[in-house]
Amino acid sequence: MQLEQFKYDNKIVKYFAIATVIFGVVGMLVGLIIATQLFLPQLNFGIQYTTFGRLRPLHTNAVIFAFVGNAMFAGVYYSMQRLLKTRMFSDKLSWIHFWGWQLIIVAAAITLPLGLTTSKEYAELEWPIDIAITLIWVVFGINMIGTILKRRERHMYVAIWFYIATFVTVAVLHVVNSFEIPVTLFKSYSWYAGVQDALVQWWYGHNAVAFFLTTPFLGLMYYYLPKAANRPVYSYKLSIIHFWSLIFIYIWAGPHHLLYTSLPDWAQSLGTVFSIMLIAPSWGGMLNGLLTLRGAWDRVREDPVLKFMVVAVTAYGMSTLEGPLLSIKSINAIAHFTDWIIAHVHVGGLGWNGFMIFGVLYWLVPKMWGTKLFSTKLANTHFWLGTLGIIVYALPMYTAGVVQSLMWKNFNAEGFLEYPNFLETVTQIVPMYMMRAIGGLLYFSGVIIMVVNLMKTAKQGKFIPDEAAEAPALEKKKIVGGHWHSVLERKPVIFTSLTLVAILIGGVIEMVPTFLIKSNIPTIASVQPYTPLELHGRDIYIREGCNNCHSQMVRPFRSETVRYKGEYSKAGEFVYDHPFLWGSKRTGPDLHRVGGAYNNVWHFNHMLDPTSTSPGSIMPPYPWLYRQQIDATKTAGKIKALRTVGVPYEEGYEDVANADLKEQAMAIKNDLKESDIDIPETAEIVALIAYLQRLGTDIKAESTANK
Amino acid sequence: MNIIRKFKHKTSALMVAILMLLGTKTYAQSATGSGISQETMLYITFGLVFVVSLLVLLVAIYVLQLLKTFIRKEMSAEQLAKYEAEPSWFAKLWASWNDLKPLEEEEDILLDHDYDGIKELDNHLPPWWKGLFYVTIVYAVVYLLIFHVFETAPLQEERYEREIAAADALKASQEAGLVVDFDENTVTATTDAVELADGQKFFETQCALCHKADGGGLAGPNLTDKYWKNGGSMSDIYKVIKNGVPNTAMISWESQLNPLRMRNVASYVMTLQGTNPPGALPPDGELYEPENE
Repeated sequence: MQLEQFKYDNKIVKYFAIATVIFGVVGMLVGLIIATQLFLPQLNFGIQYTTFGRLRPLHTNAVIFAFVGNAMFAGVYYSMQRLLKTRMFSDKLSWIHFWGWQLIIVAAAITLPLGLTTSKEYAELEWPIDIAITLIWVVFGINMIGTILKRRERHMYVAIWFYIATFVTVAVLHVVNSFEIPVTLFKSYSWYAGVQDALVQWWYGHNAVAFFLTTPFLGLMYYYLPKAANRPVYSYKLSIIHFWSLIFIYIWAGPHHLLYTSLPDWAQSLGTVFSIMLIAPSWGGMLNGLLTLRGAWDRVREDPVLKFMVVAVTAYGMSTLEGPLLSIKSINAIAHFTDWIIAHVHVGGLGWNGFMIFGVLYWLVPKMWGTKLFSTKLANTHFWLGTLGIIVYALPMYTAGVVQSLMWKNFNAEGFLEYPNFLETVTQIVPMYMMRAIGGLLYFSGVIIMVVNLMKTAKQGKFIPDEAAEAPALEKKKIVGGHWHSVLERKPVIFTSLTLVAILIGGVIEMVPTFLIKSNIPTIASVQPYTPLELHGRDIYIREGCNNCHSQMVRPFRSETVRYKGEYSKAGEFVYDHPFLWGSKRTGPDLHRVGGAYNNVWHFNHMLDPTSTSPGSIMPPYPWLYRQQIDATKTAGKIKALRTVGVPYEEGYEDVANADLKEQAMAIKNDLKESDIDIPETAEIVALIAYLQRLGTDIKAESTANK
Repeated sequence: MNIIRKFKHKTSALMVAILMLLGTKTYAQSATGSGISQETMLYITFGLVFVVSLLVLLVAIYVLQLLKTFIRKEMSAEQLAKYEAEPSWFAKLWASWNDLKPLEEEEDILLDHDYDGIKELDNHLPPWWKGLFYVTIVYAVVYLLIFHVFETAPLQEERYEREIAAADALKASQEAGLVVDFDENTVTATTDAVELADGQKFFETQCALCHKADGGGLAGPNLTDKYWKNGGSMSDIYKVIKNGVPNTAMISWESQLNPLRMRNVASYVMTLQGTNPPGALPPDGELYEPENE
């Protein structure tokens, strides 16, 4: 057999690794800022671009797509070349991928603070950026599949399976969830409405966790952990079983984000049971990782790389047990909308993703610079700071979640809410928000130590941009027999197709009936489309990211219908909501029944200075809403776009809509004037008040009818 | 010092949590319902919590083992040898539950895979893991059967209706035997100190959300001056509390308060007249002068 000479591309890995570190620092710093804003709301310095509502999406996007995303690409580009014994398919595509991805990140960092957002969690970026993401992702896919096709290794190793599943599924998720109708260059409305939008969004959101934060990292684990430990992977059989069961089952579990909402019961139940069935497949990955370390535990004591990986895999096991438990409805009833969920995702994010990335970086940098780690001692310091940081972060958040939830639900002996004032339940947990910020600070300082350590390591070595390697070419010959799965492992196209089938089934079964069968969303005759002014108000609500702290979903519990003084939310109430705004966290109270609950003056004063009406509130003031004017020239575009996606505005209404807008605005202006408040009817606050006063009121004109 | 104070706060918060857990428990037990009663659901929930705690305990033990591994680094060779001579009960259990092959026999199950130097073993699936997978699948099937095929357990809408019915029943039983000798037109203000205190307590927890604890007004109007939007007589105030005011945030309290308490609250509101609290809202509505005292 003749050996072929070729070179591994380390330069692209280096660039992705550097981007990982930079955006890791940025993303965590933003996290630290918003964590602090929760007990120090003044920290936005009165600037509209730095409020919690706008920075929170920046934090999640930066950490998920910039930090974890770049780390994924660095890890994949390094391991894939070596596992397939070839250089990447195309250097040009590699670099388009790299620079394209960084441009997308920069675009996100600019648009999100500007309030250009779709409001859909982890999919906030507006439509032009969505298109860019699609293109770059396809570039990544072509590069990856091309590399697989020109491989010199007959079979694909388990890490490659996970990379394939990642590419295929993220592509499907992103495209389906990003269906939206553009209004302007940076404004669009979701194609779907209400319950359907919620289902699509959480199918996406949940599986972004599955296929952006989990499967690629399992792939990385399968390469870097046995490499670092120098041990054989524990069980090939376990790899096969847990891979296929994981990707098949994961996709079904999205509805567990919507338990006790207006989503049809059957879809909720599917979310619950598939989440429970997900425990074993997830733990399969953890077990295969931990058991691979059998006989190498003495090395775990010495080697910071392995230390980080062991804690990462353990955190993975913990959060993949906790996730299914949170999907049990009676537990979800307590945990949903609280800080428990924040604790949960951060055990996964800081523990699994963060520590895995640190482990990989500590292994990768010395390798690529042909040297040893600058300081094991510093790496160990980082390890302990990080571990302590996670604990100090998570414990107060768990406590905060449970305490606040029980306060929300507690009735006294006379049948009244013990804490009718929502704010009371917030001030109770503010000390825990402070603790959490300390935890974040510890974790962050560990990262800074890592940056120094890695820079010093690089400095003492010499970077190897192209690493020489050799391997025999893959012979063209027919192989028959072997383990059934090893047949698949040498047929990448069939393998990829089967992966696609596996991940499509769950989504199709849950979504198609919700879209097609009318009884899933009983219509309510009195529910009408928003007026033009309310539409403007709703877009301001979206721009300011109100949905990051306020839900619009009164769940069917007595504690909620009493607290929010109205019926629980019905599926038919959201049919004109493009996008849905149910939210996922109640840092402030639910707003679905806020319409008519307070007068216009109250809203006016509250938004100008929340503490004037609610002493102790941690909501920031929004003074710019009083200076800025709505742009009535956009009304027609909004109405036309919404009509395209099915909202029944009459043909031609867009031409006269601004008259209605003015009339409604004048009414609010005049009402405010009676209390000696003078504000132009075009001020943004007027539109926002109009929207808030409309919320949840249609149903009060009670005439429920199942059409 | 700061941290200690925060810890104290946390422990006290935990205590609150536990107390409140007890609170909800006693409350939930008094509720009734057909089919699976709330009580059974409660036991199921407690069962679940128990299982969760057990699992958390297991994870904790595991983490401890991990810590021990790190600490062993510090031991001398002699100590270590002694320590490792006898495998712990945990190690034995771990080996048997996972069906682990002794490391020395690993060669036998080494597959001929070699990916950039990574080799793979052909170990069995851990038996307990397989068992766990089967149990979760059975759980899923049973769950769907119970809720969607045989429909023996209530879904969320029905559970909500039961919760409300239970609360109504509780209220009815509390109000049975009340003697009410007035209606909304004949009601008069009470001067009894105990009854006024009862009204005050209610006012300060519920009404204060909109009217401010001193009655000076927030989202709702000022109740301390002579200007009223819906009349200022005892009967007028009682009617507003009882029936609410349409198209405003003032809801009807009739379904939640019995007539005696509504009278106590209205009477307390009357006592706020002329208190002139600081920061009160300006007058709103029409001047009302009591006709006769």
